Amino acid sequence: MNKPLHLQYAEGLRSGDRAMLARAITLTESTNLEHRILAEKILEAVLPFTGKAIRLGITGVPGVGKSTCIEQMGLHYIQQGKSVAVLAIDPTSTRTQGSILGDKTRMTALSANPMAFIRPSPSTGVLGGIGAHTYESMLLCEAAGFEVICIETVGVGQSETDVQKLCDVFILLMLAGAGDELQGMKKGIMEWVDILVVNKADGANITQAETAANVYQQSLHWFPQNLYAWKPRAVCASSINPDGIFSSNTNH
Amino acid sequence: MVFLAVIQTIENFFNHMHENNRLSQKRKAQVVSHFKQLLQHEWMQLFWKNLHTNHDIEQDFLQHDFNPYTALKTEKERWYKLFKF
Repeated sequence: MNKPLHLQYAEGLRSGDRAMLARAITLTESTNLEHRILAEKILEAVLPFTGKAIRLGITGVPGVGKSTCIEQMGLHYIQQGKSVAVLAIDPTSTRTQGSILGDKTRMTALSANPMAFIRPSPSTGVLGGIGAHTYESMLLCEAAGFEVICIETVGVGQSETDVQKLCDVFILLMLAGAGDELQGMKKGIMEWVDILVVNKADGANITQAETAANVYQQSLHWFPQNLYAWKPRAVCASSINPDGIFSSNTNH
Repeated sequence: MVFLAVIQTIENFFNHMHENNRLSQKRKAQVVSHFKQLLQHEWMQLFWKNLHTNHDIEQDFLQHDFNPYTALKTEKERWYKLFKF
């Protein structure tokens, strides 16, 4: 006798079947009632196998280098022998309801790596920077045995902070020269930052990026301490620096 | 090419969070918050469905006699009675 469908999915996930994982994520994202019911059953079945991965939430304005950053980090973790799942959220058109879902094409090396799984998903009109079912997708990836989950938000502004509700570490990517000191003090996204990365710190931009990182680091002191007593850090980063090394790390 | 400073800071973060079960506390809080969100979403859908059964909103609106605040008030009162809030 055949097993119930949700248990077949759960077993498929546990055995690392990528196609099954992709289909399970599609079910969680579906608005069809039957799909939703099946998705909930699958989630219930796999929940005991979740929670073992580290969850990274990466956010920033459009064009700041989120995909590039994720690719570099993903390759680093793969080098360490860890499997990496990337959930890339893409904005949904409010006019046509479509999404490009093209972030995978920006992570060419990572998408070709057998240790990585990249899943672009539409934001489906949700405004917090993530999709309505990103949390569930993350749980499914964990159940499939992925050890590092990177959640890439849509390009955000100052108040899209929903990703902090589901990730362990909230990483905000910024660019140097994108405003004065007051920008760093504004409430909203800055209040939730665990690690602030001033990206594209290369070429003529290095000094400016270091100054920006210092300014942000000082600004981060103005916010009340978070519940977990972690002092947010501001660091510089570059993906085209030939040594791949950061010029500064302004830990305080 | 490796984002060394970022990777190092992430490692520091997790070392910090593993002390005194901070990470587990954070995740528990996230689960509760997510559950609330799910519940809210389900309730909103129910609410919306009920509102639709009592009003043909689009039709009312087209006839220019649809007052969203009156509709909301009526619906809320109905729910208060129904669930004895």
